[in-house]
Amino acid sequence: MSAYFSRLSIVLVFMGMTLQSRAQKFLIPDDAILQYAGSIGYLSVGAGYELFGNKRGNIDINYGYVPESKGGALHIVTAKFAYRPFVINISNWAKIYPFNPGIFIRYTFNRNLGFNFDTVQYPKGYYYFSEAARPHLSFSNEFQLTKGKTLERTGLKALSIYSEFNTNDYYLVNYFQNTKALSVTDIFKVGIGIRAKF
Amino acid sequence: MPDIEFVAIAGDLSEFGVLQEMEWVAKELKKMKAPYVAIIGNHDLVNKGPAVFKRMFGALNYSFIYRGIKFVCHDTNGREYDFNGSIPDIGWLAKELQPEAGVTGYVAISHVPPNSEDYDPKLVTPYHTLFDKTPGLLASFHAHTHTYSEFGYPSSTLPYVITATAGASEFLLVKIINNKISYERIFF
Repeated sequence: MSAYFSRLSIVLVFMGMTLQSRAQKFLIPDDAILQYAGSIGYLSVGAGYELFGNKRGNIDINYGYVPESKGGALHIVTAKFAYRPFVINISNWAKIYPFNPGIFIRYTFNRNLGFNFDTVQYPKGYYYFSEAARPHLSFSNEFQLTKGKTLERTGLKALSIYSEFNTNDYYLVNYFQNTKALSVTDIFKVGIGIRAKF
Repeated sequence: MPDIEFVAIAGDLSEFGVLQEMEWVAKELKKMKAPYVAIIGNHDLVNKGPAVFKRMFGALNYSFIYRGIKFVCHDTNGREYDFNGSIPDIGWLAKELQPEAGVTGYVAISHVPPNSEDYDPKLVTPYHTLFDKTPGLLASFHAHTHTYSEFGYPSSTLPYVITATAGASEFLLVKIINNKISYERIFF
């Protein structure tokens, strides 16, 4: 694993040297994100990158915080990937992306939560899950302003408000083990956020 | 089921020790007519399970006296503590199992049975030796293996009874009449 990462970092450094200007441009995020709830922090901030020629894909990196009064304190880093397969043009200044499936992985930094279980303390495969790293499935919908006086004043390219529903491996296992007691709506959590494009 | 006086859940209320699971479980358990007590299982000790369990279901070691029988509920999930020699807490158990006024019998309830490889090997002998010499101890109930079984140690006639998981649609109906214990597997 570490050999893989060192090789990857060498490749990245090499790419960085040869394509410095392009790489710099590539690393500048396209979006700034602010999200409330949604399993990645009571409040989180992030940077988003548009993907593909049609800009329908997105990779977001978020940092989230859960204050002590809300069950923390927790520091959470999340990497998201999502795609917007559908778009509804409601006017020349607004769009709706009604159903955007995605996946994300969140990592919670906490001394009680390990990435994996101690291999000396536990036999191999004793617990099959991670405590700190949590894989999620998500779908979101997004209302996007693309033109208008408000936008022009802020200098932004676009401004969106979105809601994102998600579930994770823990909840899915609980659901499939207890389909009589749990419904699909029980295992989905929701967050809302704003995304600014510049 | 009518005439059940109380229900004891012998551990693993959750799979991952997270709050949401324990809230789901508590919501289901609330539907029972009988009151319940919960005993800590190894799965309840992962993630932030210990804190969640204590807040929602209470202590990891506790006892209560009901109609002259003292129920001693305790943590035997030794592997979760890396077999550090402190779980189960033999000193606490010895104190709880001392003869006292108004108590005619004792019942021990814990999650991991002492014949399990998840039980602290250093504490098997001290544990069953303590149980052997406790007059009036009627049975030691456990779970963890998911299937029913019963075992004992040659030094005494005390039954160690492992109940099946509710996931296997089975539970144990325990009756104590005039300080005599009986138990029956119920399939649902």
